[in-house]
Amino acid sequence: MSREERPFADPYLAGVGIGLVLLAAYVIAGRGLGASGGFASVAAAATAAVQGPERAAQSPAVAPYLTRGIASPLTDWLVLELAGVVAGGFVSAWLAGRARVAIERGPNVSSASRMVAAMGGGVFMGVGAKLARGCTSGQALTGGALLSAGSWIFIATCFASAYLLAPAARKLWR
Amino acid sequence: MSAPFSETGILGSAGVLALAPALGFAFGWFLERGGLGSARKLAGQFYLTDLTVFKVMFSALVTAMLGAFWLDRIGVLDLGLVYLPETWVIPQAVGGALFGAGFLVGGLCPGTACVAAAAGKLDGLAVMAGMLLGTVLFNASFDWIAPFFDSSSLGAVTLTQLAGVPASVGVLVVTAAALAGFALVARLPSDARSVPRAKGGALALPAVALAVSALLLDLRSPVAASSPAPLLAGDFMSGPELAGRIAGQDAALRVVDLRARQDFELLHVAGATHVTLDDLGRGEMPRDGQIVLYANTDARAREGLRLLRSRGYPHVAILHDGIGEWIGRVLEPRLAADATEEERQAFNRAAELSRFFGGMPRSNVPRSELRRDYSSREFTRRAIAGIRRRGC
Repeated sequence: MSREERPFADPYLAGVGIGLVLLAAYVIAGRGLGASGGFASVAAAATAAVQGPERAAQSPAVAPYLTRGIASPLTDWLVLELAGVVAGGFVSAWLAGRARVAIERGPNVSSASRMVAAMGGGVFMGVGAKLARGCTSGQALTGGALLSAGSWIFIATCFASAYLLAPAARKLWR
Repeated sequence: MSAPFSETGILGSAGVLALAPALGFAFGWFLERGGLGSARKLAGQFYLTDLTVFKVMFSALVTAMLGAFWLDRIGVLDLGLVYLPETWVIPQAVGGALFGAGFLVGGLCPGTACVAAAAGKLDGLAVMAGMLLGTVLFNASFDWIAPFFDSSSLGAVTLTQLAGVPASVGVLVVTAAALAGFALVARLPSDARSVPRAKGGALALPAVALAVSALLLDLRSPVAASSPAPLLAGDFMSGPELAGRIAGQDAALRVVDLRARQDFELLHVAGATHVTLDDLGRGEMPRDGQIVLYANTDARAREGLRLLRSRGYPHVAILHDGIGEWIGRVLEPRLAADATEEERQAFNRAAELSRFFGGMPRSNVPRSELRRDYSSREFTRRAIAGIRRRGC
């Protein structure tokens, strides 16, 4: 892809754009945006595929995701929304000349370490988002804008923890 | 009030589902445009070398907050019908801390990992795979985590409700704090040498205007700021009382389910009819009979009560805490292991009704697992999954 890479948009304008999308979600769907909930549905579908639906439904943590949606957990609202996120992210990156296969990493870390760190970070976020009942999209943005008490607890401890640990993780990024 | 469309019935559930990819597309588009598909930019947030995350996140939050507040106040969007995430103090504090650690190490959060992966970043794919693995690990250890996961529940509550102030106070404080933060980060060295002055700065003025006028509106008409007219005890019916009347074959009784059809099909009160707010009271119902209604939110149940009374039905009551109460007190009553004689007698009566409706009473339950509050939608969702698992 030889397209020239274009600069990013003004973050405040991008933010206002996301805010209007979130507002549209409240108006249309009576709920906000989310991401980790979509992962939970996919994880439930995968569990059902591996163990069989009967056995998967025995787990009180998996069962609620199997009874939602119309036909399967994959038709859940959040899964469809997340598929849209992937499509929107791709089209935007492609038009701006930013779509290319790469591993983005800090200057002092190997690609292999970066991949391991990314996956490990994902595992922590998977558990954290389950405990918190949402992630940066479903709690921080969606609940934060509705002034939900729990969402602001999430925002506070999420950033506090990241800033507290940042010096220890310096080698990954600086 | 015409919105939310999903609740007022303007768009059917298939229509709402069909719009999900479009909303997601726009979300992904703006995330990528703002630079949030780049792990190094995101991680820069935690070393104060790149404040894009803060700027995008809080301008989005303030935009949606102001928009939602004003659409509610001008009568377009009923915020009482928008799903408010429930609060679980300690699990959310701990979950947030774990999440923050993962965000720092992974450099991407779940939504932005999808954007990064879509743009070809393999590290984005690795974060997504880790997320799935973490979710499966959590599910696998759920029995062990459950007591902690279910602790310190406050239900669906906002900061301003906890503080006992009008919502507009919260709107103004958050807007002011965000704008102060934006002004502050503009002074950081990372921003001083950044590209031309952000055009977004011009948006600060309308934000301030909307937030200040929100507070002025609430100060001028405190009625609008406080909750609607309080309901009386006689406006409610408890689960056990309703169950007793259904079991007693009260011919003049009608039970109305105002939730989405999908919820109704999963589980409903025995003999209930599914009705939308628009059709409420327009069908065949005896005018002098007792009508009991329930919904997913207080606001919707109140709206149903008001509509039915205005359409000429005097005897209307709300099933307190709705389907959650029906499950918790009728289908699955619990008795503590160290129950008093009085509790034991009440349980025996409840258990008899429970068996009548095909429920599953449980005795010898640790006292900490007794429920006093049945309003949590999350508990209800899990209980329904459990009931369906048993094959009712």
